Amino acid sequence: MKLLTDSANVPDEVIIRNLSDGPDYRPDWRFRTVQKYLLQARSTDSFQDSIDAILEQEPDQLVRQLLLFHADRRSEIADRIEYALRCVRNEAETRIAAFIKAMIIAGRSSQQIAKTIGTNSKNISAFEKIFFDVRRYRDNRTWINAICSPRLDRTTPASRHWEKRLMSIAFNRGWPGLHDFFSKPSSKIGHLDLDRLIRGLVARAADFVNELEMEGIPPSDRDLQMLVAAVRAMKSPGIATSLGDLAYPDPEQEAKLQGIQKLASAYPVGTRRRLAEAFRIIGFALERQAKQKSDQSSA
Amino acid sequence: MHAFLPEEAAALLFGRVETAKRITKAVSLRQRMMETGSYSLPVPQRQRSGPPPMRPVRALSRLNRSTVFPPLVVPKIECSELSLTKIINFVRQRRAAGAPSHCLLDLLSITSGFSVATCAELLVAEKIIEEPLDPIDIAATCAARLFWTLYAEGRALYSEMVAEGNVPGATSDLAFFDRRGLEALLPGVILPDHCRRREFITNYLAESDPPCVDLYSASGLPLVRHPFISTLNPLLFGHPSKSEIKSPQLTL
Repeated sequence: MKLLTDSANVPDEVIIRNLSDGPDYRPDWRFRTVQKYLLQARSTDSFQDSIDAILEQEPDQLVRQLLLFHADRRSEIADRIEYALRCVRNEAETRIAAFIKAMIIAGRSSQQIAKTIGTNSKNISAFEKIFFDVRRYRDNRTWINAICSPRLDRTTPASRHWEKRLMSIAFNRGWPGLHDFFSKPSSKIGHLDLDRLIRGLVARAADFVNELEMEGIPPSDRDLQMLVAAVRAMKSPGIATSLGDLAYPDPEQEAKLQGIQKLASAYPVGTRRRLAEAFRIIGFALERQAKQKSDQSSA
Repeated sequence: MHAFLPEEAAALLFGRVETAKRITKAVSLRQRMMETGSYSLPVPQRQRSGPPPMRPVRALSRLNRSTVFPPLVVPKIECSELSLTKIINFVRQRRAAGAPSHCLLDLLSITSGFSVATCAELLVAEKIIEEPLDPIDIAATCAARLFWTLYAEGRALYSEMVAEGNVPGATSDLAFFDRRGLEALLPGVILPDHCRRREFITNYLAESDPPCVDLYSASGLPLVRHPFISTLNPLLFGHPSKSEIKSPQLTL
């Protein structure tokens, strides 16, 4: 099973460098380009001359540096490239590559990622550019979703499944969801606290429903059974859901509401109440004034 | 008689012989528990590291075996080089030492991280091998590499289970797989009904002749052997022998 992030048949592949050029843009396009260049150069009689010719034409700085590194010539960022290559070579054991990818999806900066992983931001930046160039397309949610939810078959190694899960969490829950992995449990005795447990299980249940849709599984009587079970389960802790709550939110309206909430959260509750009261009085006065004007004009 | 509960007494008087036996057994057990004050036997202490497990007696028939042939490649590749030029020099050294073409492909692909197709072309372009590799040989090499990748994961899982005390430790190359995991490890394998389980422990025996994966149940019961005999090596099986190629027999 080929993944969008896999380095599959490169020799005849047309490598796209921007998402706007084609939907089959791959995040590791730089690595693929270098593979193609190296194969081209190795197929000629003079390898180093071919490399020189390619370097003259290639505009991307990182592709040039990676090519120099593989051609055993002096690369200015050899240490960073080595770090990135080691991340991928040892991904089954260390899983650092998956962590970095998930944190990029969650919108963390290279400095923040470097702090979590324990390296410098330049190494992270090199990894990102060589193997996971998606940051500039983070707003293209449909494409990012496709990257985070590749179809994996049963022969796919566990590290790939784990990477998919981690990226899916990052996509659905963002950094707060991902942070639960890295943060230590808040309970004093060292076990997961109850809130965290319930939060995690509810989120996984939501992921399960999302997966059903993503996998294209048609509706069945099992959905009804699950709905009945969910309604029963919600009754005991007293979670009430009205039909109004179940209406799908308008994405644009939701974004606007989130903006308002963000703005309001900057003020303390007391200030917000006073502001609301002031706006209510001003609004009432404006309405009265408008009414008076309309009465005068009609008279 | 006071040891019997009312419903037990009634069942003993009016019930079937099997019911009476069951009740008698339950009551005697209850009395023993009350007398001794111990309600369960202590958990048997498993050995942390014991001898290799007893080998299964039966072997899978040839038709029921998987097409994967793990001895094609080495389980783990040790190469610290990262730049392609240095890796290719390393591959050349291995070639000089007599490593076969498919092993060189595996080595180049794993160490460089490049696609198998690119590596196959690179080997020819660099004149490390003379003839391009057959696609069937490439597929067989990839399948063998996947076997070792999955086996390493199963091995790690088994080690975790040993650390938790769920399974006995042993000195062999043991790994743990669920049914789907085993199907991925040995694609195409057909297990007899009495060997089917939800979970398996496997033991890879590289030293045995031929190399073999022994299958066990999760509780350690020996199930069946899966030998990898050299005559079924996918690089040879179904290919004409060299003598056939040199002196083809004409049939009219």
